[in-house]
Amino acid sequence: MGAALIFASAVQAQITENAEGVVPPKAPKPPRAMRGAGGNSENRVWKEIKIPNLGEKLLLKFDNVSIEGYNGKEVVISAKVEEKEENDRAKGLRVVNGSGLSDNSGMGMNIQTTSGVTEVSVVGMPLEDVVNVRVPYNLPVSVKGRGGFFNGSGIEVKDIRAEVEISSTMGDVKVTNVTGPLSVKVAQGDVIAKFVQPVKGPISLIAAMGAVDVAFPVKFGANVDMKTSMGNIYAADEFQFENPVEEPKNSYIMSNTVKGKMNGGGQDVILKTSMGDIYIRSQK
Amino acid sequence: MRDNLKDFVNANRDAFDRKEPSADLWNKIRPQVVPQVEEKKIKPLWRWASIAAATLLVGTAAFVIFNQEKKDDRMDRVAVWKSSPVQQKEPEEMLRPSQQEIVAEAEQKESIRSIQTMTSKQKTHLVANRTAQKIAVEREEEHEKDYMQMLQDSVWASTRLAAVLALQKQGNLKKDETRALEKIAVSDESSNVRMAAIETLLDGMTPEVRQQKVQDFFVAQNDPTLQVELMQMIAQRDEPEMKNSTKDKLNAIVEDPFTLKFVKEQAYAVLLQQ
Repeated sequence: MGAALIFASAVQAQITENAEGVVPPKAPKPPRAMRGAGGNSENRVWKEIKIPNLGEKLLLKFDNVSIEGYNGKEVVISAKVEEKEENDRAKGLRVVNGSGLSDNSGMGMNIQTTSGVTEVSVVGMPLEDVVNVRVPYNLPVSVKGRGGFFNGSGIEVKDIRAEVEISSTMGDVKVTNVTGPLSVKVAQGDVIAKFVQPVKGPISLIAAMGAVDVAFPVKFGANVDMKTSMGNIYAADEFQFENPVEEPKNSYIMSNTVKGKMNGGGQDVILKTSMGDIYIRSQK
Repeated sequence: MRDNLKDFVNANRDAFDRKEPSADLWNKIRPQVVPQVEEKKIKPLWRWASIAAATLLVGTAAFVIFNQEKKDDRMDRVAVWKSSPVQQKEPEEMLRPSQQEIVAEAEQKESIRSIQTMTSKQKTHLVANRTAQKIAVEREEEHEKDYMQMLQDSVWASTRLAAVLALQKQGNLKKDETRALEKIAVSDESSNVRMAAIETLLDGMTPEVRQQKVQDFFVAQNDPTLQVELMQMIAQRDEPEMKNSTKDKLNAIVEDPFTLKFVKEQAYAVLLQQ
């Protein structure tokens, strides 16, 4: 019977593959070989690679990335890279850096899978343009920005039904249509999260200097722990708070804390910012 | 005027048309002009195979479920039997389930029903209650072990975070739990988990102890998000003095050229306050 089950699941996998073939996969945002329109980016082209031997979790170690889940099985990275090595002096040499990682992807990235985690890091200078990554929608994703002070320009994650973990130093973090669990930490930048589907906790969104702006489905219940030290907490009428913990009595403390049940309680939700406002909207 | 040439051509048209292109020519040109369209391969076999597999799957699922139901049914019957020996056996023996079951299985179902009395029912109730309590306690212990185990999960930050939050809700931290949380508060790779652990530990502390702890945690943090949060807590302290290690850390933050501006400002604010 076990063999029959294995056979059945194999056939099912085939079916889903077929089904995928019927609906043409969405074209990746950038055309594969579109030449940059800008003056100084003329020698850069979109390059696309598929990650071989994918682990059960994806870890990206760079900022400035847009991740989108899709109904497929492969991780596809497309980035705008130098078409050919312009640097004559570097001819015949390879890029070496302190991490000991080498470019094994042909686009300035090191990709390796160890104990189930596929790690992608940028070797050498970070890329100037946003890197697009398409991942199977059920693959857990973790982004750890390198903490770039000069070109950190945001992280975007969309359509993922698995755990997402993001930590960055600078730039906004935008998360859309992710089921959770979700944890985001950014030092300087806003955290914007939109939950469309039922949410699975824990959710932890932390900004040091920036707003935390989150939209939940209308009847979403949660055990919330919200704190802003220099800012307000704004919530839509759909979200009611029961027995919030009383605020600290000292009047000189500026912090604003709401801890308790929202809409009767449910998933654990932590929203925090040290300098900024917190917004809770209803996703319609 | 008559055109002799035209007449001639008209008269001999058939003769001129003798050189026709070969029938094969188009086939030679076609691949160059018309891009090759990959013929859609229809795999009718897969469709049938999938239907067959689906049927098989449903069949096996039904079989498994049916089997389980049967088992449940049997369990129910055992449960009914279990209630029987109560009024015949001593209470000590009641607690030995294996023996009880053996006896129970030897009994006839019908006869059991006939001899059931109120007292036996009460007794079974008592036993059931006691076991239920036991199970509840065991489960709680299991949960606690689970949390400790969840805290060790190195792959999923959400698992660790969930465990920290569960401990926070539970309150009254035990020694090993406090130790585990303190380790996490300092060395967990996820700032979100560290933040939650710190908050859990600070919960219910007196202001003085709390302030000392806050400063200890602050010294161990290198993430600007947590640094700012903890610096704000330090700024709220009642006594003007700070630990030396805290001062050193603040000075290090201020002197580091890579420190983010708002972090530096916060550090200055705390330093100037004393």
